[in-house]
Amino acid sequence: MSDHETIVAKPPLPTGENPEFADIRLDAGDDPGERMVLNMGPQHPSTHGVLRILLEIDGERVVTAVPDVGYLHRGKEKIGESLGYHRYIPYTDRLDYLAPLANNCSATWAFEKVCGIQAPERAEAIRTIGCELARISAHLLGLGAYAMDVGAMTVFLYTFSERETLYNFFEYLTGARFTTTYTRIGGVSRDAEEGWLKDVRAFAETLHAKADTWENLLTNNRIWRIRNEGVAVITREMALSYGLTGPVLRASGVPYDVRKDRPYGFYDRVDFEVPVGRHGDCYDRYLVRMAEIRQSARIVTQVIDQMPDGPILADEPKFVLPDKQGVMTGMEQLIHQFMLITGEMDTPKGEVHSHTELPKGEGGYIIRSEGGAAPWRLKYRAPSFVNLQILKDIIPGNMIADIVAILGSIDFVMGECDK
Amino acid sequence: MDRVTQSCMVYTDEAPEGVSDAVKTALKPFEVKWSVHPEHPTFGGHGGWPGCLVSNEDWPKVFAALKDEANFEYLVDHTAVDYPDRKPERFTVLGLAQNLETQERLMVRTRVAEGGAVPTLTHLWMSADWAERETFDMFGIRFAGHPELTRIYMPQDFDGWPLRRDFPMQGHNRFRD
Repeated sequence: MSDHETIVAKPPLPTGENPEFADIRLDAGDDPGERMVLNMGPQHPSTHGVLRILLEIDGERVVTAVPDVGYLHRGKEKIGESLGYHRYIPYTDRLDYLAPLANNCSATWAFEKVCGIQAPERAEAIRTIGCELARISAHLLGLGAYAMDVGAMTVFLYTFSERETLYNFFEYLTGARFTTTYTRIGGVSRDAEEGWLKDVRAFAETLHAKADTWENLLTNNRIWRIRNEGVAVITREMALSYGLTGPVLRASGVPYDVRKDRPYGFYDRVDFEVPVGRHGDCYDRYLVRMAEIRQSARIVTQVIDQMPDGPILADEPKFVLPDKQGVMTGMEQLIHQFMLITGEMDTPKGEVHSHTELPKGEGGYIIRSEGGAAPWRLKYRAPSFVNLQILKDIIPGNMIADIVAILGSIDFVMGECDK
Repeated sequence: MDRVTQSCMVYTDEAPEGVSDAVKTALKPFEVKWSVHPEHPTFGGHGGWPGCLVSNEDWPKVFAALKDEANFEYLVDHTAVDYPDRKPERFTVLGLAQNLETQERLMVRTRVAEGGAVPTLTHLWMSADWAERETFDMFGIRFAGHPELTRIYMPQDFDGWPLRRDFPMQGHNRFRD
């Protein structure tokens, strides 16, 4: 184990183990009984969108589970191959729509590699802040929805009031609350103001105390622990074979985080830990996400403290759009923007692989460029898609009511899964 | 866009920089062509991972060797690229494998003609199951030995392969007015 790992230790139950709860799981015994097929989704409230799971059940116990995806397929890769690099960025908002800023950044980092350019330091720092705020926001929604599905309504209200603050930050930075379309190839569209940075820093510092409040509601909550501890254990071998990434993988004890292992953006200049779990059950996945929220707050604080000055767009007129103010007032800049957007851009030929750590796991692009302003092939690795595949292995053997806990702990977004 | 009849990738016999000795040893029994990106300025830096081209028969064996001998325990990504005018093999199938300890990655490629089949990787990684189904669904490339090769995103009765370059962006005629 390397030095950047921390083990998320389970706190002891406050009043000691109650033996009555040990046998709370019913056992059907040897009698298979009558089996029936139950269709869960695609419009079930706990499936976070349009996931459909076909269940074969024996009483309350699931015998087989077959996840079915594709209800939200919009052909984003085909759109990207048709529209080109600049015009694809708004579409990335709608991939993981709970963390649009992280998706914008992930796409732009990949496209910058295609063009062979580098964004200025200040732009990279703002992007890193954006990615981490998006991660906090996505984890808060995941946690709130997860807790509400399992029956703890209060957490949802707490986390959503924090998300409101975050959305106000996004609105101030990008001009939009939800579909941000913030990044540009070679930088970002607007600069972050000093006051905004100060507010975000203050928010990040108070987040630790707020995280304590949420953890007080759940971590030692007896019902929460009974519903989650030991449910849907994913071993290290299973996690690797299924190609899981993100908090789901780290809860199984693998300290793999792209931000740490292959740093991009500003991540090589900040100090943070990669929380890993020990048991790989639903409860560990919850603990890892809570720990990640705290680490994200640490990263945001450090980046703001080291915030570099300078331009927010690279000086690469062959690939980078001109400043918006100039486009609105100058004819040269307007022509420049028009040419880049309508396809007068010649990217180098080659293949680029760019993967970043998104809130749900490792996401990124394989791009084959044959020149021109559009990729010949654009492949998006959707972490939710890869993570969902394990459902057919971990749901069988559990009760129907446990499925909502399992889905909440995997924390997927169908907009991203179905591309 | 101009017609692209050939992939931009160039292949040589010599392994590029950044390929570890463990990988070279593991791939020694196979006929491997290493890829270079002549035009790409960032390759070798942060642009892309080293890649190689193998034959269809060697495709699962190369991954098995990588997994067993070079400790590449993780299949990161899997997809295909379509060159409609390339003869005789129109598709390139890509698989990106990773060693979690050294963080080394290798992009393995193989070429297959329309109607041809590539051996499956599902016996090596469970994640290959949906990945190959997705590639099949989007390109119509068959994976021999896959337990359940059905469409995953598109409806089962859908006609056509959406991510092929010659599939129209607007969709089929029969879905238009």
